[in-house]
Amino acid sequence: MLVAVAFLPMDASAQTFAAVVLLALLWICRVAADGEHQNTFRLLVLVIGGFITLRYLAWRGTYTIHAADTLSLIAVLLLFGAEIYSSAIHFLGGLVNVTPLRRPLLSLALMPRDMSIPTVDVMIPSYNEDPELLEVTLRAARMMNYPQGRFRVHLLDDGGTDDKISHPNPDVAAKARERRTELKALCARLGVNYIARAHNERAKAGNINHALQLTNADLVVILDADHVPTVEFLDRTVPWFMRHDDVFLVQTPHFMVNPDPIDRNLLHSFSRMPSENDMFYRVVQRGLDFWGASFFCGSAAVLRRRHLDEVGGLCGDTITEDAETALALHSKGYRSIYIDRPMVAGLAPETFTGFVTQRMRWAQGMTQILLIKRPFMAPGLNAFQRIGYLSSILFWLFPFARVIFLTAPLAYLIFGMEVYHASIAQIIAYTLPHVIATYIIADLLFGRTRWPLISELYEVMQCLFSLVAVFKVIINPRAPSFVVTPKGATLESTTVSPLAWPFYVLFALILVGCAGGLYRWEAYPLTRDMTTVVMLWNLFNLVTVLAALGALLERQQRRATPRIPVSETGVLRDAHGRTSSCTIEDLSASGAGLAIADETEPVFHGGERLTLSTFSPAMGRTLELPVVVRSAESLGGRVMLGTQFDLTEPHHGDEAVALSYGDSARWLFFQERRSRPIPFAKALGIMLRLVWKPLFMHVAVLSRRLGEGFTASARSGRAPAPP
Amino acid sequence: MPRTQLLHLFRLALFAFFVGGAVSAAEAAESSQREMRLSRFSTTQGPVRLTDVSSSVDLFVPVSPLASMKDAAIEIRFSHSIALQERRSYLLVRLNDISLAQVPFDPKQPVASARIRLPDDLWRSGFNKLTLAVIQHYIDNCEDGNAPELWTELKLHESNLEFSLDTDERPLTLRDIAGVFAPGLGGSERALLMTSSETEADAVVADALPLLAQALALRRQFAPLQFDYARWPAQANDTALGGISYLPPEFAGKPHVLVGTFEQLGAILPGMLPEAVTGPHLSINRSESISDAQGSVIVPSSVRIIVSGRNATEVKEAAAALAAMDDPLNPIAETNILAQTLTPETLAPYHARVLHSGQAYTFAAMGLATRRFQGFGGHGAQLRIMMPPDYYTHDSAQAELFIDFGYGAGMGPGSVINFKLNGDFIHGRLLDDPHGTSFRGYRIVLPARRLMPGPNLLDIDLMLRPETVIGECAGIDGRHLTAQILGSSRLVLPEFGAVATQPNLDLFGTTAFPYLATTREQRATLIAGSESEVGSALTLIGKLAQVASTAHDAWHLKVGLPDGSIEGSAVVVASAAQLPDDLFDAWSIAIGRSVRWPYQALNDVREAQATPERSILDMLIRHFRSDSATPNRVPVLRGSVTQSAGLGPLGALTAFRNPRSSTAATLTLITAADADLVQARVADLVKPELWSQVDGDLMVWENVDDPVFTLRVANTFETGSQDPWLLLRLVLSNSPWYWLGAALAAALLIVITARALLNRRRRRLEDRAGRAPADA
Repeated sequence: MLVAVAFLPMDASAQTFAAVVLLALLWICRVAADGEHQNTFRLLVLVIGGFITLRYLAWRGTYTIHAADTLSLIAVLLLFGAEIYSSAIHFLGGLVNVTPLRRPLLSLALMPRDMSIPTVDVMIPSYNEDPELLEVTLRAARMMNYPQGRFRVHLLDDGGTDDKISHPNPDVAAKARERRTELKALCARLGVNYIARAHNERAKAGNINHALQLTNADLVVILDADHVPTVEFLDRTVPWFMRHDDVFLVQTPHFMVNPDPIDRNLLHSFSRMPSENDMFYRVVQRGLDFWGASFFCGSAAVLRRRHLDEVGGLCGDTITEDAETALALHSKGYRSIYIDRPMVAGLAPETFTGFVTQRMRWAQGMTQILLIKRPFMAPGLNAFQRIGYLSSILFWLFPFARVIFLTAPLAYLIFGMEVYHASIAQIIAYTLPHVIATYIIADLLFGRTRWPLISELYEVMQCLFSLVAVFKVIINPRAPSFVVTPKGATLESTTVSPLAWPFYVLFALILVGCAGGLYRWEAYPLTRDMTTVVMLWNLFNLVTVLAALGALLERQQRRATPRIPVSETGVLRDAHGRTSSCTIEDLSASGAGLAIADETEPVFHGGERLTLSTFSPAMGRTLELPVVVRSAESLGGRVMLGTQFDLTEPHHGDEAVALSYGDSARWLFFQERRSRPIPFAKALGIMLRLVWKPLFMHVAVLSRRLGEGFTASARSGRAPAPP
Repeated sequence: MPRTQLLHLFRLALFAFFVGGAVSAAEAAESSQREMRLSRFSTTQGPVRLTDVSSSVDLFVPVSPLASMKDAAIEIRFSHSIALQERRSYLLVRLNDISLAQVPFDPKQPVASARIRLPDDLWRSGFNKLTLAVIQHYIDNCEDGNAPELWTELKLHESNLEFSLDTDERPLTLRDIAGVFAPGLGGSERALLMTSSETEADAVVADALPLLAQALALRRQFAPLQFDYARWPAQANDTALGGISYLPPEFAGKPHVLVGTFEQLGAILPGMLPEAVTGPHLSINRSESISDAQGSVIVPSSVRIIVSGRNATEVKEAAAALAAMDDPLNPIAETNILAQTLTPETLAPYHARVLHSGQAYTFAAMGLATRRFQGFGGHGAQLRIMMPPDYYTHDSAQAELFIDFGYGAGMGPGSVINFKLNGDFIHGRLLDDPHGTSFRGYRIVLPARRLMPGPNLLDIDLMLRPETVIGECAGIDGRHLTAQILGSSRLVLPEFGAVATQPNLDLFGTTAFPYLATTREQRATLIAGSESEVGSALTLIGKLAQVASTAHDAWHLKVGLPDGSIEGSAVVVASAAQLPDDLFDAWSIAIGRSVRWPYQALNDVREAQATPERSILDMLIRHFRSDSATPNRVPVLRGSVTQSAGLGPLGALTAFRNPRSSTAATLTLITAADADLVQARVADLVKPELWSQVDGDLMVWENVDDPVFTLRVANTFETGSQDPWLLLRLVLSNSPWYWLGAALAAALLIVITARALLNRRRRRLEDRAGRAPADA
């Protein structure tokens, strides 16, 4: 019925009036959705906002799709296609997230005493990660609260396979041998089972499936090498399997303890702004869970072995084995559970290259699922599960739409192609309300987990690379191979990402578009209205690309293990027994940043050995950790001490890990603190403030690089002349 | 000069000629020497100013083919610049491109007059081009062709054309009908239509007379043609000596048309042979003059057109043939129509006069063939785009112009081509390629709603200027400048429908809507209050045919206002006393036995439209306060006073929703105090100077010289049948609350349903989460 009304014809002036009334209602409902009867008002926002978008599409499709020539028609259709895609994602998003589900927190302690506690295999697949990083994960896995003897930790080392050891390249073979020896020793030291296979077949899925053949516990926990679990991980997840036989998966969020490269390089808002993946893990997965479609995300999850065995272990037809496996098991009628409590802390890729590598894999894998597994017609799924999977998968086709939105204004401003046939009155009547309605709905659904304009930035940053990657999959769906996301990388100095050049081209094109727009504005007075609108669109793209350029300036990163911002109290004691209370400002498994009052006695110096006493909720007791002062600096009336844990005693290693990673309440607090909405104007202001400085820094870095090039060539030119 | 351009100029000249007031053929024939102001032949108001070294003005003098000009001369008054050189500056007079006189300018006498004889043998029937040109110089060397000193003013309103007319007494053929009612000098401005007084003639009156009136009016083009109607007596006067007289005395010697079956005509034309009428019949001849016993002519000979047949249907067919006939193809005195075809049968001839939805038309097809412009200065071409009167389309629709044009080398600064639609600028381009260039399919897109229902004018204005050359006495005269608009240029129209808001007298005046239709299914009723108003009614629909440039064969004339229903749209021509009061019940005006006037003091008569939204708040307030039935959302002051007094000397033209029709239809009413006044006021109304002022939904006038009073007081309504979708758009656009209500109702329904379904699912999930494993 709404569709029929959306297609009812009415002139722009009347449509403007209707749109104003609808937007006013939408706004009222949006405000009311935060109060009582929020479910009803939430629905009203979605329906009215969706109707405004539907009305826009009806108008676009009915009246504006025409062109003077074939080329323009192609451009017109591409733009409309991109809008249809975006709206489809918008509608699917609205449907999926109409009422996100919050599961109750269960615990083994709440289970009937006579109920048998299942055995668990904790599997940590690894490929090329540093042993130091693995050690933290392994220690944390060992320390999970679960009945002794009921779980075992396995390190699945794909970097030390027989294939690698006997690699034709002697350097590669030597490194693999060295890695296997080192990791075996580490596992032996920590009481972890080391598993290496003969061949590197089917990447991560093959690695886990190999381990499944060697183990036999009821449940399987998958943790990525950098995913450090808190002590309560098993306690909170396993009860779901005990209560429901048909549950094949309990998935928990991936909580990132370091900013992703866009945040790190540009936004600098790690502790103030919701993380990029918060939207997915805090809203979308819960929304999917309501419809029984939350899926496996590759790590931080527990799976039932019996169900896995039914589908031959983890599926490996695509490079996103996680979603593929979940799809296969959902198709068999089994259920998934999503628990919105961060109990695993991981690392985001540090560099933009790593970030793009990760996202290209996801985009390719999801496209593979779309093409090979066809979830929209997979047997065994109900309609809502199909919609859920379709929503999750189609999202990854965003590069098509995003590239079109970036280039469409250029088609008009540079080439004069009319890709959007509308008068200003019609833009006010249809386009503007659609944009506002979309914003209000996004604010309702994701306002606390995704700030305005941030999605655009992340999509712009990925679109150029993902577009090519997705195209490759479309051409040959089985071609992509699994590429491990590099983590824990360091950067000695600030540099420009090697992936920056497409953005330079895009930036230059948009600047040309601006110049073209100014020319058109001057030369074609009759089309000034339209030129102004397209210029504004192009300027928006310019700001986004400028921001992208800022994020492409890879900032210096010397610390391989990120420090997590915390605010806890402790006591420092020196060799003479003198104590001083301190605040722990940041923390990692290898050290902590401490703050003490400036005038406090005693005064600590660099290299001094101290003992840090602090309470660990994970261990349930006060820990005594030996630390070495690495730096001391007065700052704002306080002395900031950079300390490193002295982990020569094995139990200190466990305690440091428990202190830094063991408590999920800390992650929850951290997550809640930064989950806050901001208005669009503020987001725009932040973006505008941020984008200019990196531009100049780009120039400076490139100039420096150019200068170094000149110097190098000058030096080579001063080579001694032959006698 | 190309034919189309000439035709256009002729039309303009003709319009001007009749605005100024023509000399009727009768008047001209009766007096030996006549005088007319030259300004009557000019389209411009006031004196004509000729500037530059050489310029001219053309005046077109139309002459009926049945008349010849004798002893014509012009007396022209002019003034010129005192800076002009005596020997090199002069006025040139040409008739039909033959130079007749050169009048030298005397700088000592800047105001002068000249009398020039126009030889009889240079006149021809149809349009005669009288050219008044000047050659002007103010210096011998290094002359600036655009110098302000170079001017001459022709005072056309003080200049006269003197002439006498000789009527051609040769035997008439059917092709002379165009001459009898020619719009120029010598053409008849009045025609008497006669039918039998027998009751059987009513069918002829109902169907044939409207067609005949239109057929004859169309031959007058823009010039008014007044009709009189009379019935010939059952037994005509048999004058003793000369023959049978059937003409009312006041019409003796005047052109008249006899309409009736062969049997009916037998009463007055006993000599007419039965074999002459073998079907629909048309003939023309001169009636014999009747003399008294002394040989004095008591009833002079007159032009007589006979429209006949063996029955009423054939008479109607004969009238239809006359309406369709190209006169030059009929050099015969009489003819019988054997067959008439028009396919598809559902379409009316008006279908060929308007442009159609989703079609592309070349300029040549619309009357603008390839035009070339040569030389320095401004040039222009005008294209008449005839949209259907009920043209309506959505606000996203676009019309496209694909212009084929080019210009030659050597264009200088200021050379431009501008396009204007109905006077509004839509596109312009500099002609700035020094080598010249040509374009094919130069695309101009304009919102389709810029095109108005009815006639639209696309003006293509060019200014051609030569390149600037620096230096003493340097300059290029610009004779080399050339540009061209090709007839292959196209107008591409979007899909549109047939919906209109009524009543709208402006639309009625420019397109005859809603009475001229593209289909034959739409019958139009013409009601005359009595036989005395039949002539006036026919005069009016003759004018409507001129407006539409075609006759509509679905008119049905009724004499006397029916008591019952009047289905569909109708034109009523009646005296005020004949109008029943119930006709005006739903309207603030009554013009019947009593008069109800919406006096200005009681009414807000300003034409105001809702302004574009100044602010969102403003728009909301306006809509919330609205009366959804009216497009203007601000309450409008309305009031009236009912009086017993009549209309006096005034005539009234009104339109409102037909209260006696079961469907949405318009009733157009023309009335005055009595039948004579109705005839006089209608005769004034159809004159161009009054007809061009038709507007609003009430128009009151006394004569062409006094100001016209117009009002818009009736509630509007929408009509349209071809595209219900567009009609729906019009209704919703006027009343967006309907749309909004439907949207919100649908939204609420969805929300309530979704809420129930989601709650059910949530409960199910909660139940499942709480179940023991054994239950799972």
